[in-house]
Amino acid sequence: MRKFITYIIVLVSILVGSMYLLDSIYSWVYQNGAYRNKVMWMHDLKNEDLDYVVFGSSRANNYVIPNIIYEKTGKRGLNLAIQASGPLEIKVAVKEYLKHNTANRIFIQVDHSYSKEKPDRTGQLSWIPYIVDDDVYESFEPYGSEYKLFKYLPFYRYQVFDARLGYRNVLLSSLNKGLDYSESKGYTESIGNLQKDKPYRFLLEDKSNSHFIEINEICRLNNIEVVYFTSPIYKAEGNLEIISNHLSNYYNFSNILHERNLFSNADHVNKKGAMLFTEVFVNSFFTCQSYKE
Amino acid sequence: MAASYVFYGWWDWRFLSLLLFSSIVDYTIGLQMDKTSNLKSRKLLLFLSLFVNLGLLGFFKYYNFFIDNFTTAFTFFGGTIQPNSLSIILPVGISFYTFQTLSYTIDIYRQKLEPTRDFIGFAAFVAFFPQLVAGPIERATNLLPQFFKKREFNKDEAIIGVKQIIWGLFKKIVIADNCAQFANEIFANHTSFSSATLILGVIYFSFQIYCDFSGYSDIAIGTARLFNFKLMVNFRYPYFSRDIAEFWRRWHISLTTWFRDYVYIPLGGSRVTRTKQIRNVFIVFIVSGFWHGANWTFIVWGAINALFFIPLLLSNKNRINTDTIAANRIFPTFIEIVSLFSTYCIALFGWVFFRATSIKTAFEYIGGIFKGDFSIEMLRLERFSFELLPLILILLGIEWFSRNSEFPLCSAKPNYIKVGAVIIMILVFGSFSIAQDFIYFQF
Repeated sequence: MRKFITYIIVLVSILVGSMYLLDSIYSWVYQNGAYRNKVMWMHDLKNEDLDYVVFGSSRANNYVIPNIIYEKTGKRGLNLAIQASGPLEIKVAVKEYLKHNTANRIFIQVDHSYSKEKPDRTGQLSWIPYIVDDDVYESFEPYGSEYKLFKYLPFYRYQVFDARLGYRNVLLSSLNKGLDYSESKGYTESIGNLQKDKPYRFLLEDKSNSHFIEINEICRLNNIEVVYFTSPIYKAEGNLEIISNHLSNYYNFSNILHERNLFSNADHVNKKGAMLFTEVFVNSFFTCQSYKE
Repeated sequence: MAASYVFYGWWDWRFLSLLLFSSIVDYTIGLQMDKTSNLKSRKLLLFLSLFVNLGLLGFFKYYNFFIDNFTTAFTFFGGTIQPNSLSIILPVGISFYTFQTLSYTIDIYRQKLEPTRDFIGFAAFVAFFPQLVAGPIERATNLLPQFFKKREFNKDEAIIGVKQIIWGLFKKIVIADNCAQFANEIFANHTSFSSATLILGVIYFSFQIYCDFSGYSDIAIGTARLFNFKLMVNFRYPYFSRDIAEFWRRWHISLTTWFRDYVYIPLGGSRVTRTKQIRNVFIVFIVSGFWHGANWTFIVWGAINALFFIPLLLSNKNRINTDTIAANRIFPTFIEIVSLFSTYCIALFGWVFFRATSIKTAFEYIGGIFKGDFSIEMLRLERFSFELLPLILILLGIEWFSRNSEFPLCSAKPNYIKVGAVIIMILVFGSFSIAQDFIYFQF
């Protein structure tokens, strides 16, 4: 029996040792490998002093083209919106960016996830490798005990999200098969043609969101202006207007584009739509006629 | 027995009554059979056991199938009938423990086994938790006596057991669950894919079903070994078979030998006329297919295997490959490679029916394979890429060099490096985010 127990102890040691080793390797790749997502890119941004930065979900990521804004206004900025991000993930992104960089103005896209306080199951994924950072951990930790395991149990987070953060991603990143965000300044095109044109119905709760309150406070302390906006939807219905009850500097663009050929699906524009929206964006926020600079 | 009942009750405690009822019936029938030497009475008791066990199985597993088919047939001939389908939960493992208890009463009837008077031991045999829900289907002659021996810890068996559990986990988590994601996608959207993708889909399914089921068997046998119980081997590298007869000697051995001993041989086996031999083979394969589930696809799957088996039987070539392939060589000969490949292709053909949701879907799938569109565009998409094939090749490589042993890590030596490598492969390549149930739990 003693020999068997020794055998089990050795196997458990191999298991734990392997988990530590693999965690170190994966984490190193996520810190140093080719960018597989925007958070990896954001981690490498240092000493940027920009005119503006855009945060939000794919509904900001696919909409605002920084290169067009630069051509038209000379304003330097980045689109740091990440797919499926909710208010919590946006707050984490804002905090992460401001750790080593600054900006004069921050634009935040808000819509159906406005009322959401909890992490988004998909939106949080890009942040999971960095949950060992205290700042990131503090933001997620109140929302479930699993975040404790992600931080303290080595390799566990890579196993739980193996399809998105596992060996495939790590291998591609270490083979330098990354995504180049520097040229597009973070904008990503949404490809496809609008098929279903059912109205998108918003059902938001009439209450403030703690994450946006915190973002406002962070920006106030850093002397940064925050602008909230809702980007266009093919057919928007519902109670979007309640956002303006809680966010002072809010602009609703949800109903400004109506042509089918500008959309890749009901709530995302294609490249053509993004170019048109960026024009509107420039006219609304970067020209003297429509916006006080 | 208590541990096994807690284990089963964890799934649904209500069905413990069914397990207990089956145990009481067969225990009692076993004792009654022993009391009488009258053949007629013994036969009556055997029929009672068959009626109760197969009746329960038939009700829970096949009631809706028969009602639906009866309704379809009745409507076809112009009649009208109100179908009365019931919403029945299939008790996990019912097909497995039913056959296990039946082996007990049949063996007593044949006077191959003495009935036990120890009800606790018998109930523990019926409900033995490692193999209760998905086999191997044990014989009373092998497993029951082990419950009456003094339990002694056996270090060597326990170490082998741990290694077998780890190997089973590798097959399930690394190969089966990863293959499942791809196979499910391809089978669900088969009409939109090229022939190449459809071939890849059925290859993935062939390894999913093999590694899912044999992985479970390894975990079950390994767990039993920790308690110094020896369960029967259920898989012997079936994809290294040179003909379909050999394949069936290596695939789900506990079920195929059960059908051989309790159905095929009582029907006369091979010692009857050619016509009856063919009938017997068809009966065994079709019943075996039907055992898997209440769907025509399983019946056709059984019939297809019978069709490929019969030519071997008629030409007396069904037992020419009883040894291990390339037994004293590292590599197989060209002829052996051709035999392996053709047997694998036959198995693949059958798996399409096994996996498809209906006969129509299976024919559509096969039609898709033969439409001759071998473009690789679809394969370039991330979810249908070739990335799993290297893992499958690693599995086959490991199995090839272990084909003379029960499973690849089967020795009482610690093998820390090999076991460590398997553990790392499970951690790195395992599919943890999309957990898949064991396929055979539904049977």
